[in-house]
Amino acid sequence: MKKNNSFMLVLATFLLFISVSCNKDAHEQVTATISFIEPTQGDTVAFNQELHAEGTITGSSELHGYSMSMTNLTSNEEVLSLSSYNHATAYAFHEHWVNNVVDTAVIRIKVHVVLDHEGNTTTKTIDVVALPN
Amino acid sequence: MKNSFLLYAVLLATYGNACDVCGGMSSTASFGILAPSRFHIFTLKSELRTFTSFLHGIQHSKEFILRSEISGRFQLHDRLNVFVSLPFQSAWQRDDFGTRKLQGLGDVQTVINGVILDRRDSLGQVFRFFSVGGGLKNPTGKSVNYPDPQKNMYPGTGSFDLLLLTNYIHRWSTKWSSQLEYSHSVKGKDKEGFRYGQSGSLALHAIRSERYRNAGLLVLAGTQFDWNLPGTYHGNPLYSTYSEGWQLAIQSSLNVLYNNWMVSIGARIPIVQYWFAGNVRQQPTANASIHYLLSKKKK
Repeated sequence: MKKNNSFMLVLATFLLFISVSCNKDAHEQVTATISFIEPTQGDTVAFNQELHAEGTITGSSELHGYSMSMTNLTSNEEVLSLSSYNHATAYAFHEHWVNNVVDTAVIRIKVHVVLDHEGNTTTKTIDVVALPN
Repeated sequence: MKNSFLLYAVLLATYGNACDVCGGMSSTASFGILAPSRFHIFTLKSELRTFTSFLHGIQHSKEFILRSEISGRFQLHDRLNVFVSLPFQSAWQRDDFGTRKLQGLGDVQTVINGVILDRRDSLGQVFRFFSVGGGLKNPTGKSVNYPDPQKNMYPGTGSFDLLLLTNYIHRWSTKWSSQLEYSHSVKGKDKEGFRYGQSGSLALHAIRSERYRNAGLLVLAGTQFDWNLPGTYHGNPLYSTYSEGWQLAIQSSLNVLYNNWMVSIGARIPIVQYWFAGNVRQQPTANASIHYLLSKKKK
């Protein structure tokens, strides 16, 4: 009887430990910080010059990929779209688009990070002005 | 006897292209241990270099550069030869968003090499050898202008570069010798006013030669120090960019000589390095080559 009690105590402790561990995992929300080194909000880009998007993404834990897009908000045209499914705790991005607009346009640069497989994401956008020739 | 003569005449062949950390900016040449040979030499060689690049302290990309080269060295005289090489380069850059590929013909190099000191015995063994060479790298290869971020991955630099090579070989015993080689490159301006910095490479090797039946086996081991000064744009220095840095590496090669053919494989492993302010790290490099040696006198 005493043996059974000891066994039950060990089992209960083990189950409690597993339960706490699982709960901890479940509630540990991954976060990410997106930092743009270039450009800054409201920058202008002359015609035929490169719009240079450079920055870093740093996660509190492993991240599940990210995407970058540049959209001409004036014409609603996506001028650049890239996606990565690499798993890492940090990313560095460095992409270019050559300004070829025919009318003054606002270009939105969007970086979208996948935090986990539950659909949690975070996004940062920066708008710049593209000038025509 | 013929193989023995070839073995001693050639002494050994290896190459470690100097200061070639980033693709087309490679513009130094090396005769390696083939320097004292009095044969015409035709060579096919390939070298695979890999790099890891960092941006703001985070790994951003990996670069793979496969450079192949066909070259010929023609003996004009016992103490004078001309070396011509035509490279072809394929480069891949892999980052989070995929892989970019660049390939094309590189810059043709021409070097005239003069032998200052050449002491041999009756079998043709080299005891002391010293040569000096000068040449030109011509902008025949595919290139782009500064500040294109992929500039260093292109096979050409877009400039005329001057080359200087010196080579000293000292035989210590029948089987042991050493080689000290220095090469230097002064880069010219490209059309947009960009100029890579001067580069140099100093290599010191120990060489062991053995014979097995009709084949010669030559093993080389040593160290190589490469350095590049910063590039300039309209005369203004571009610090920490475009290949500025230095590297100390160890290297080794195995060379097998049979009849008129020699096959070589080699590797170079960086020990300490500091390229692009620490933002580029070169990984171990592998190379392979095959040489055909043709006597300049047919009797």
